[in-house]
Amino acid sequence: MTTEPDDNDDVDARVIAPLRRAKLAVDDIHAARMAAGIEAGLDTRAAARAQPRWQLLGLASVCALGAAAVVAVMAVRGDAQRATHVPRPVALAPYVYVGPGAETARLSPAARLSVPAGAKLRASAGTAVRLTLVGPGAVAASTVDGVTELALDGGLLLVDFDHNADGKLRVRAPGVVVTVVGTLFAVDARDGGARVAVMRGAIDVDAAAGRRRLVAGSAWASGDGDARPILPALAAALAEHDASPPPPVGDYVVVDERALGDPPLVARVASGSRAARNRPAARTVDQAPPLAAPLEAPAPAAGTAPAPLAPDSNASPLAPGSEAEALYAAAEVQMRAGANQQARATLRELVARHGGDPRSEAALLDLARLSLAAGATDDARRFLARLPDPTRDRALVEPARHLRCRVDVAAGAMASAASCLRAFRGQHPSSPHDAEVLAQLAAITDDCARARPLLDEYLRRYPAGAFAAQARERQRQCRPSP
Amino acid sequence: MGSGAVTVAGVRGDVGDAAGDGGGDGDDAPLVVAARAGDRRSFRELYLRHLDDVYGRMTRIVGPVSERDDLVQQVFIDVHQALPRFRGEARFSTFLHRITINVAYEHLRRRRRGDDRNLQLPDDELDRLVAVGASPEARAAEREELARVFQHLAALKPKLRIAFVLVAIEGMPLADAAELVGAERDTVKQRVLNARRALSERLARLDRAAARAGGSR
Repeated sequence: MTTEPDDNDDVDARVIAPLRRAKLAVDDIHAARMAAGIEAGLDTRAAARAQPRWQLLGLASVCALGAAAVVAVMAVRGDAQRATHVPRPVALAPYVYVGPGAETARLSPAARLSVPAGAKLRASAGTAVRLTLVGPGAVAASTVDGVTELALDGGLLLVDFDHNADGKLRVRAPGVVVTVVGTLFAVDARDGGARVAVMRGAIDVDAAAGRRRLVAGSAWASGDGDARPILPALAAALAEHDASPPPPVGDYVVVDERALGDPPLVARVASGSRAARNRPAARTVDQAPPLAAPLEAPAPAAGTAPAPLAPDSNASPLAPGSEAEALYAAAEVQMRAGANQQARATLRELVARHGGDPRSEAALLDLARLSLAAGATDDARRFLARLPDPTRDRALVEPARHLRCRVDVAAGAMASAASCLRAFRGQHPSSPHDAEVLAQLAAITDDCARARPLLDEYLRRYPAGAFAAQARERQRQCRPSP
Repeated sequence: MGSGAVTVAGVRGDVGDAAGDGGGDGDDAPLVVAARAGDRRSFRELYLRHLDDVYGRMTRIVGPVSERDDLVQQVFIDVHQALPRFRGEARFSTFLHRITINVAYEHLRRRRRGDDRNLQLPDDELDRLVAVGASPEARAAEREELARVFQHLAALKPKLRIAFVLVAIEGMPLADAAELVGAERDTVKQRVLNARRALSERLARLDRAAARAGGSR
């Protein structure tokens, strides 16, 4: 087989050129979001490395690491061959989702799945684990030395572990270590601390007070010494999880939509298998109890019982923080779909209703970005004026400051822009936006004497940067006369 | 004409800073030292500095697939884990991008073991790659074109795909690409040539199929 020059041209034109044109930069919010994922991953690894010492020093030291509950599962035999003591992501395969944004939700395998408040997600990890996650919360999967770990970051997790599969199951949560071999159980990380309930099988719970065995039908909470009966609502939820259809195989499509409340929620489930066609998976999920109740019954007597465990029938189905999270998740979906007008309305609602919530900062920043993109610099300024500097969310400090400068530049307020850009460079000398900021600063500095050092610095640091050609031309123009 | 007609030259230098050096390794050094000592802020600075390069390279290699963000995060987590072993013999960006290539390669290898014929590329992910400001029709056309490009690349074996992306698309010199993937320069060159040939054949095959379909109507 020979390859003619035309063929090369064809590859250049039809493969190389389009990919070179592709826009591959990461926006600030996207970068902040991934940074949060990395931080979580590093924390998980740090916790894993600290485990032996942790067991020696006692559980209290680990409580400080945060509210993440870690479920360790022996599974995924193929990954055992790659055991390196380094956690590797494992795909969680979601197959049923009920909740906000279900119309556009992607049910594709990922190492980390999160659900907003009021939502439920069902997924499998390998062949041994099936789980239901009730939001708001997130679960991430990884393997370490052949052990699959599910890291629960908030939410209620219902797990069905196949006792016929190889391996055993460990649960790590603030204040407890749980060891099981094949069971149906739940871990709740919704109100701080950890709560465990067992529907089938038995588990050993290691806590500061020592080891205790929990048998089917019992529940336990960190900070509480005694096992209690599982609440009927949770027992029903576990039973429903246990009886739900197995993970289907095939493409993911919406097969059922139904109003579940206000705002309406719809279900998206996987289809393509006999199980999905023959059994109404979504209906089964829809009919599940609300799962708003805590895992265990209230203490029979006053004393050591932790107060937050009692069910509160008057409680709103969505806590304020959860609603803000749901609104932000909805806005994200809208922005990604290009529905910026709807996104703006959702973000405004978030800010109006949950001004004190940390997500309101991200919402204000998004609103300012959307306004700037639409050329509405005054609106962008108004939104930014409502953002504290620095923002409470550290991940947003740099993007917010950069955006303030960009708005000044776009508005033609050059004196203010120059001051902003100079301050930005002082505050964030290693910013990924430094090349752009330096270029802008040089571009708006009319005085050659002041522009020259900026141009020199730009060309020294970013000789192949986007502004390099202009910088060289300006340098030439600003060269002192002989 | 023989395979010698397939060139890998002529694309170098078109894409600046292909090694992803960002602000330069000289600037990275203090951050690397601090990050190795456990300073998360310094590690975050390194992340911010190199994110665009890692993200761009990962996207070109694996495509805008739903797992891409997880893979990028995995790269930085692996880098953090491996920092104690980084003694500065190579540039930090080389060290970082070796890990990027490894993570991408493992992903492609796993995916190839599964069903690779139906590469799922979410529309919204493709849309992010399209230039802002184009008309909706132009954006749709660009999305379709990029989807086809990634389908073509998905047909390549992982090692060919990585070599092709680094050298032919990013314009990286063969020696640098060889250092990144841990292979001989000539091996990488051969992979790029093989990739080009495979792509040429695939395009020709698709064109013939399209012509036949057009003729039969």
